[in-house]
Amino acid sequence: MTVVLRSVAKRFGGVTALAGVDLEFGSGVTGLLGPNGAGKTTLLRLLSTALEPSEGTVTVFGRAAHGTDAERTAVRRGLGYLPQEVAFPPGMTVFGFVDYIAVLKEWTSTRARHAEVRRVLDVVGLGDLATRRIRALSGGQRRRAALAQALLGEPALLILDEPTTGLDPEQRVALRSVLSRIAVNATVLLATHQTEDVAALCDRVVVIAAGGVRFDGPVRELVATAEGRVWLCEKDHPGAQAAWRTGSGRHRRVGGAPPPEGEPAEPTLEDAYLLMLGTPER
Amino acid sequence: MNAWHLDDTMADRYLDGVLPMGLMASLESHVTGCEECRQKVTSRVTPQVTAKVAAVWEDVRDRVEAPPLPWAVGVLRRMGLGESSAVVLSAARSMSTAWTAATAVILAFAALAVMTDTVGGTALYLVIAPLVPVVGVAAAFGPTTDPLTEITRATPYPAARLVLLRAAGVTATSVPLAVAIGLLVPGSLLLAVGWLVPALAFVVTVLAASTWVDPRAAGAAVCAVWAGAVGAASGRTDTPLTLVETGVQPLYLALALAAALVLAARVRRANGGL
Repeated sequence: MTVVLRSVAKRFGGVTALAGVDLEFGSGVTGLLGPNGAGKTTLLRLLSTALEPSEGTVTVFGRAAHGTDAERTAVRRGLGYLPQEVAFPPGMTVFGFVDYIAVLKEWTSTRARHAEVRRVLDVVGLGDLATRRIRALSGGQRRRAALAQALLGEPALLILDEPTTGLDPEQRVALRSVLSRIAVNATVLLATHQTEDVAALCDRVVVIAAGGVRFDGPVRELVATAEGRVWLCEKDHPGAQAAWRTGSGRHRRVGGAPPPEGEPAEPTLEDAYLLMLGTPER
Repeated sequence: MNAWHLDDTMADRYLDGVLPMGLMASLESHVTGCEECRQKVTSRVTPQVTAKVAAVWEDVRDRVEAPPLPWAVGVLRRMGLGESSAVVLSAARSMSTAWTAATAVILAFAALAVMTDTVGGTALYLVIAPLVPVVGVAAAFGPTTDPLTEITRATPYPAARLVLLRAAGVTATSVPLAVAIGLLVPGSLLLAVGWLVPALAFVVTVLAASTWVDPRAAGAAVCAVWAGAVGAASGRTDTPLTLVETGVQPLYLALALAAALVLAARVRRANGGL
């Protein structure tokens, strides 16, 4: 396994962000789903070595991610990390930004480094904007610039926190294509609010809520937990965990008691996720 | 539609560049628009020439895409700083050309104040000169001043090396500037160079304190204490230069050594992570 977490907890002062987390990740794409404040970002920051756990151990590539300087450095050599929010130094160009991170990732040969910078910029579709100042880019383009640095050196562990934020549908599909190619040989961890990204891309999904793991398994198994609990009906009935009027004019009802005239509907990952979180009945 | 194509002899002579200039230009235009002739020419180009063209193209892209170094980093690069270290320094706000220019202007005004030949003018220069590198170092790193700290922490580049490289870069570019401006001021040599050891002590103190607190807070505290000391010295004596006289220099040296020891211990304790 590329990543192993054992009894991991993280506290910030009196607030527990994660508690008793045991997880293992191998190659392929794993999606981390969970509401805001669930602990997804804290988990990814622990794996990136940017943060130390309060309890437990994090092992990456067989080394203690928070052990000695040598072990931590060895872990960092194999990972690419896209934080949830990236602020850029003023005046930096796209090429300059990725080039700077490439130096920090020990690409010391100028020629090889510049070739790698161009490669990752082409991968995220920013090759033609290399000389543009980052402050002149759109939100989606900035996000792709931040993603480009995470792809430097084709890391064996790619940690992505909300990578599709600000991307339009076409860019999201392009990103899925990139990640699915990388995941053939690498471990990709993807925290997101977008259940459709997880459904389209991930082999496995981990649902995190209130600092703990609520579900860990194949996406289809999570979807299966919603079988027989989703209906389409003509009228809105109280008591559902989630319900909304669809474009066809019918009401989609998730959870609660079966409605009188309800027609069973094929559940989606989003339905299963809502049920898993146990949203209070309406 | 092209009615004619290059034969082998013409293609070879075209590549050798031995045709008359007018015919060369005509063939150039033809090859650009004719796929068949372009392939014929390409197939005759030796791998060595192809590699050379690719290398030239790479150099062109490097010159176009790699951002120019800030002025101060360019100076250090010409003095032997490595290329990758120059890239690291370029990302620090206090290494930007704008920062260097602002520093020069502030020091110049301080030097003009000295020329008024008043205690206040001397005190102003003595406050500003050693604090220029202190402020530069405080602004060069840390979670609040470096927006890329989160990404930086996840790279194998040692944090201690990053901090010390930036501190050295800021000091190496701001101190000579301050000394040069100080030497332009007629009068005391002590005023021009007497603040160097205090500046060193203050920079190392900021670095050591930054292992506990925000670098900006550490820098602000050092600035406040030094400005207060210069103000007090100006009130008690005829000149604030008593603060940098030869007799008190060992105190600053001791402070620098103590701060360096604390910094080294903190770096070792943090496993180089800071």
